[in-house]
Amino acid sequence: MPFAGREIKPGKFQGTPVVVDGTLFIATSYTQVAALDAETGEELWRFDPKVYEWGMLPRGCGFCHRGVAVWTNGSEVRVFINTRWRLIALDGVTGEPIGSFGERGEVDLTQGLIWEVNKLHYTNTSPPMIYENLVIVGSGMPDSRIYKRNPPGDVQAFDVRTGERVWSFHTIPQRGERGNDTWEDESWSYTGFIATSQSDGTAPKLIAFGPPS
Amino acid sequence: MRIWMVGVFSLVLATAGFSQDDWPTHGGDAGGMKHSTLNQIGRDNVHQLAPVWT
Repeated sequence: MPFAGREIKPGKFQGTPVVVDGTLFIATSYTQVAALDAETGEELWRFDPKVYEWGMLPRGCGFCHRGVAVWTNGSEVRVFINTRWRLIALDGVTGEPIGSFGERGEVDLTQGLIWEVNKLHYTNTSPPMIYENLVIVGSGMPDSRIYKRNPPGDVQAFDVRTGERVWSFHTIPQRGERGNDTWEDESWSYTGFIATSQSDGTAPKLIAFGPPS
Repeated sequence: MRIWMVGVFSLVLATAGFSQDDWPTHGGDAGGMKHSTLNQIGRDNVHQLAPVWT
């Protein structure tokens, strides 16, 4: 269940801006995305995923978000925001969702996890990461809320153009995966949440994790 | 030696499609080095920085 009755209010401001070709992209304290002219500060567009409509986020910093990821092939620019269970692709020029990505511009990050989760407990604070034509996300971890089948922390990679899930890495090793035998009494099937660091030297670490083969 | 290695590392991880003036990822580059190659602002003039917009 969501945290019923909690007042909806902005989270802490924790966004790190990114700048591409004179445009600054930032995530706001409601996980909106804004594009600003880096020279003048003029707001070029703003996208509001309206995630507050599902109530407060169940974590200490509320709707805080640490930024967006930008992909470009030299002509097209795509801006990605991961908020709650949604990974959304925006057109860098207009700020509109890109309809051909996932379903109407977004994918549901909870669809391919190792077990079904309460979507309202699935969170994202770190920006997605771009590697070549993949957009890669982990997920936020609860600091204190512990129960069976928490959001587990799978790392997932999606095609930046189509939103197709390309690979998923299980931080809790499932049957047949390396390390599974260290999770005794089938505990791998219902417990644990293991985060991956997304914001500090991300690419080499994630590539080291690699897609499971 | 260490500096030289960082240089090579950055080169290898330079993100395709972005220019040196950009800060294209959270950590500045694909390695999350948080280092800018821009050099007009340094130790001697950083105190002159002033807000241009808010």
